[in-house]
Amino acid sequence: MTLGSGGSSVVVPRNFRLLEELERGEKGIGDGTVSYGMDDGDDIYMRSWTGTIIGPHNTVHEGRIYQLKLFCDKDYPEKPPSVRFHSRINMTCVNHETGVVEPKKFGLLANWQREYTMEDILTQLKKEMAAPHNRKLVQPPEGTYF
Amino acid sequence: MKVFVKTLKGTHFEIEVNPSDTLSEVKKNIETVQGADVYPAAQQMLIHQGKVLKDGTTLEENKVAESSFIVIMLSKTKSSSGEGSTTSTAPSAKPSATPTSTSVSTAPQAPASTGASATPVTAPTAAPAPAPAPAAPAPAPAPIFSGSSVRPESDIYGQAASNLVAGSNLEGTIQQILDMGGGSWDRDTVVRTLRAAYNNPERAVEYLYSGIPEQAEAPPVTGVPASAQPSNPPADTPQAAQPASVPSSGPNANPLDLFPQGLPNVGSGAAGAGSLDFLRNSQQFQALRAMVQANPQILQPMLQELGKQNPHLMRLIQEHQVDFLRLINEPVEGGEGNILGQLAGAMPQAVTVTPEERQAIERLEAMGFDRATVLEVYFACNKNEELAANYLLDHMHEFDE
Repeated sequence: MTLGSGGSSVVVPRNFRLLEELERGEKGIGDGTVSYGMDDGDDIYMRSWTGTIIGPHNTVHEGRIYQLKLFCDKDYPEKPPSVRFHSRINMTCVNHETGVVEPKKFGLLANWQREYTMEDILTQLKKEMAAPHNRKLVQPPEGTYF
Repeated sequence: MKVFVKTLKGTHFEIEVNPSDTLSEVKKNIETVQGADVYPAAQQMLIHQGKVLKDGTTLEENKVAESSFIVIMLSKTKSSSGEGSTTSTAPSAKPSATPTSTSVSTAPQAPASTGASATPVTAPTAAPAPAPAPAAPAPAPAPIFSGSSVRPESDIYGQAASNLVAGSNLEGTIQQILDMGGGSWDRDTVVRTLRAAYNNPERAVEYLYSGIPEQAEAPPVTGVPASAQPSNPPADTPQAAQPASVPSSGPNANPLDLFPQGLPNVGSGAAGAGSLDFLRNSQQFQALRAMVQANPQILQPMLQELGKQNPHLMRLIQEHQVDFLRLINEPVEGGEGNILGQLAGAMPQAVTVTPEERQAIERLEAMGFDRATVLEVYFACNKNEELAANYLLDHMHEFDE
């Protein structure tokens, strides 16, 4: 995210950017089907985040809540955060053993741009759940975790 | 302090709470304010900043401050029959259990007849929705564990019909599907797919993603050759002449008979190997896979039943959850080019109906619609006469074309 004034452009530092995201998460995003916030309030580097996705309508995920962990390292937002499902889910871009969202199989992480946010990741994952190749996959029992 | 509660319908309301209130108290508060019929406390799930709030904790512990937003959703009540649409369920032949509870029956038995006075009615082949014709060939009847008795749902068609929308609900459904697409579908497309799906929202969404099948969008057949439609078909038509007769209690009436106590190759050797690949060749498993892929919600009740009947196999599945999911999501073999399916498509399909259903069909015909259209819509609406009538009346102008 750059702030332009005349010819110069300023890159928003990591901490400011994460504070912006934190504020947006606190206000509640969109329709409420995705939400996120800080996992560890004492972490001054704001690295550990937690998110939830409510499964989209007319899919096998409907009525389920999926919990995720996001980790924004020191090089965020230049590099994408690592994303891992805590709730068990069967999805093509999620590692069946660890719950990690595999960047190569998930376009947003594969083609990451610094303008993207954690909200974008969660929203895109929700869309991915409703995609034809995921919406009917048999899911593990509800309430099981990686 | 005031806290905003956001619902998944896009609305929100505020509640007055104290930071020291536990989540249980907050849920009771919401139940009182909004009504127990709308938000029963037992079913509420509250989410704040990516965390599902636990009942024992307080708002303060969860860092819920003044003017914070909490998202509320209702968890599904667990029903024994397994939730979900029965519209796309592959019908399975339901063999009747043998009277003795100890013996294991291996002889294949014919599906139970729908009733003594059931009369076959010939349905047009062009009908896209009627579930009775199986998409894949039914597997050869497997040994049945006769000890398990499963109570069939008395109103299985009623439950299926609840997925269909009509009247004022239709508008809401269209809007919901439009929202779900996030602007990628226009209203006309959604209306067209709903029409092709006979107002079944789940099927409509499927069509939006995968395209409307040709036969679903084709205009209804207006004339059917007289030979294909005997006005008074003989009542003594043998059961064998009806390749697609519907089991009396609806699709998947007894899916749990798939698990005999002695599954092939589930000896100690197979367990030692620690792999579930032996299931791939099991007819029971292939039948289960076809049913689960058609209706994923039935997997959990089936596994519970399997746990009772064959704990050894259940333990294997639990140890190899990933392998099991991989196996169950493999495409069903022979689904595309099976000869039986092609033969069934080439000839009119005989469907057994009860006298009451026949009267319902005749009443719908009496409203001025031709038999082929009535049959098509009646079966698509899961034999719900009222829904079928609504649909026929709503789309009357299309049938005249």
